[in-house]
Amino acid sequence: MKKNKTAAALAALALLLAAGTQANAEEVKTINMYTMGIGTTTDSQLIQDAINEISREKIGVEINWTILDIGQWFEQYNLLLSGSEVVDLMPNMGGVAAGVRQGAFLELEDLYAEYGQGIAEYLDEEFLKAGYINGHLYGIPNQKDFAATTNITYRQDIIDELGLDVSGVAALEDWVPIMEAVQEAYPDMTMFVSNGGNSLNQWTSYDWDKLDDGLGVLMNYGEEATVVNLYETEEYENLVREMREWYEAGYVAKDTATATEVYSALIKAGNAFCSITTGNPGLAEEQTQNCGYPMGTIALTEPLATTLNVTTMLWGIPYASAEPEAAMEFLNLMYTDKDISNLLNYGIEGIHYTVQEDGTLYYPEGTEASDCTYHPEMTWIWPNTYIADQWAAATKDLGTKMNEFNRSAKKSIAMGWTFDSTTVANEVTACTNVVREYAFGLEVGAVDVDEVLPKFQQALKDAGIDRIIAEKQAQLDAWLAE
Amino acid sequence: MKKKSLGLRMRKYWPFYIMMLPAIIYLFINNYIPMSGLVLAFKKYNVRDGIFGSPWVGLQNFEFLFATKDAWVITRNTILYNLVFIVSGTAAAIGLAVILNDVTSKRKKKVYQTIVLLPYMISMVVVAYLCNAFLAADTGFINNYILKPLGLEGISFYSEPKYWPFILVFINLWKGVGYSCILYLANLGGIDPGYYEAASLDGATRWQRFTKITLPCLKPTIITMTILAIGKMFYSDFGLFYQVPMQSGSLFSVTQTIDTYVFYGLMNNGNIGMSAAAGFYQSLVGFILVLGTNTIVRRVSKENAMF
Repeated sequence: MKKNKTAAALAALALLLAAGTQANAEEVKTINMYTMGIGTTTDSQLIQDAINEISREKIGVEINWTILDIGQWFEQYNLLLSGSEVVDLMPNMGGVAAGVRQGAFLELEDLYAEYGQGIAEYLDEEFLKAGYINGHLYGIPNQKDFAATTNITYRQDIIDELGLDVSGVAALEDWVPIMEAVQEAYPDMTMFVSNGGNSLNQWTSYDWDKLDDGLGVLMNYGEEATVVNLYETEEYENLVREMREWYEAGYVAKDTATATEVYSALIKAGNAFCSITTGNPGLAEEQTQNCGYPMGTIALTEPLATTLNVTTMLWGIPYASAEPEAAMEFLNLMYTDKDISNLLNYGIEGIHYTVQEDGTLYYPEGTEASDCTYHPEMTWIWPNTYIADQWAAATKDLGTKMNEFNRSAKKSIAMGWTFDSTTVANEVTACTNVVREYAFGLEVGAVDVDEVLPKFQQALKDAGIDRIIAEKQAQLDAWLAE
Repeated sequence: MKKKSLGLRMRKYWPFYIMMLPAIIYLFINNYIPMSGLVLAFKKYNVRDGIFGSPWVGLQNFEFLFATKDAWVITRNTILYNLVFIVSGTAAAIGLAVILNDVTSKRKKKVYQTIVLLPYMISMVVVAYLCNAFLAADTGFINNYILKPLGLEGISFYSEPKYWPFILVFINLWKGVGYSCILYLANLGGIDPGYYEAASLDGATRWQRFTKITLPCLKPTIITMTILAIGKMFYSDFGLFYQVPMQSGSLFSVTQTIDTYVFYGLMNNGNIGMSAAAGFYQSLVGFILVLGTNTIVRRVSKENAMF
């Protein structure tokens, strides 16, 4: 009898305990997610509530979401990393390397193995490698283009109108007769504008792996692991000489040296014809939308995948995170859940968008972009945009095309390696300034190559580029040997 | 006069000390506590160890400021521009203040004051584009409406360094003169008109009145303003040197200053230790310059020294 009583008491206790753990399992964890925004995000609270409803049910996690305006983001970024505020999950534009060197990010390999299985279904192992630094995983790449071509992007409507044939264009010099013909038909139009003005080097990428900063690169699609000085190569000299010819022929805008606009803004204004840009599938459609004219594009290079192409956007979990497991679980959910992807990208159906007959999404009837209270215009920051529905006028099957593009790309031998510039920080600072001083003018043809290129090369030498190259080579060799 | 001890003074003037307290607390929290962050300049910062736990690296963070040939150019530019700004700014402001002071109609005076002050209120980004509207090679006013009708060849200003020392000094003057002019104007109003009347009766010319009455009365203000400006001599107006030349690389030899160099160099790698080192270096030199100038002023005329 007594024994029974004890057993009953034990059973009751066990039940209680079980109930206790049950309650624990249902306890919802909250993570702080910070992202940036460009467009309107007035209704982000509504989106957050809708997301929380889904994620609470699926993984028992709720988000506390803060959106910072993009300008503010860059100012606050270091502060967010410093741990003075608890951030559990954030996207990192331009990668996590600088933060990792300051110890700001958590090592993710174990968390990824345990909670990131959904991500692994979409993300190839070789691209994930780019998120590793010194043997630890610090950032999870978005689904995006992991490779790039260098393209001439131009006004397709003008080509059609003049009946020009561009199918034979494979190199820069093939483009000259086209510009000549267009210039004749449109004498007041500027034939060539740079992309991003003087904030971006014209030849930021071509058929070389620029190894993070372009100070020491791997030529020929990064086939061999020999780091060379790009600015002393014949390829570079040929490019700037060709641009000089364009400039002297009057195809390049005289004010290019002081321009700051992206080329789409200049083309939209109606008096520019073409530019040189990085390319991926969907570029023509995207730029047709941005420029307001039908745009065409020709790739001058084959797609090349480098670490830099992958690390342009990595999601990371800061070291100070209180809930790293929940953060990784939520990242996994964002990567795999179509409803959440739709919410993040476009908002709530009926309020921020409607589904059209062909299945694409558009603003609800009678409204347009300016009325929309949630349209962050940043589809590229979300982990997996391709599982979301498609916005009207976007490229069809972009996800599949992008996947093929990524897999078909040539992979640089340094794919997955990230340069640690700490030991040559003085030289990098000096060389960065030298490149700013000379490269832009050279690369749009605004200055005399014979006079300025040797000066540029000498200034780089004086600023210590050889030490950077030696350090890069040593680090790369060590990494390859592993 | 015998100095009283602090305790005694406090007992006697305690209400004043209490009135001072809020400002002291504010200064302490806002200006003195953050100074401890200066240690960052000597550390290899990492988040996990925090500001005070990060390892020391000595002067390594400072090296990049001196390691290159550019070091000389950026230091020269920063100091020379500031010297010219101080001299030209003071002269123009006093001249303008004297002229404005002689305007008798109150309404006109207000209108003129507003006009000269207006540029001070305009953001440097806007100034940069105003300037661009004049100087642009293809579309600029100077090339299209001045040089072209005269049959002269256009100038591409943004790739010709030789014009920029003048352009930058002019813009700085145009933008800043209104503000300092008001300071001097207020001082001029405080000069007893009796001096001028007496001088006129004695037959002093206008120029004599200016050099013998106006300038000596303005001297304390001029000295204070100059010492303050000298303290900032190692800083440059970032907007002026970054925005106005439109970040044109070909102009770097005459537009690159310490601030823009640090900005361009560290924008990519975000090295907190190196940025802290640059700031520390600038404020240290500024501090030394202020002390030095003040010492000189004290030697020359003691009553005008700041401390």
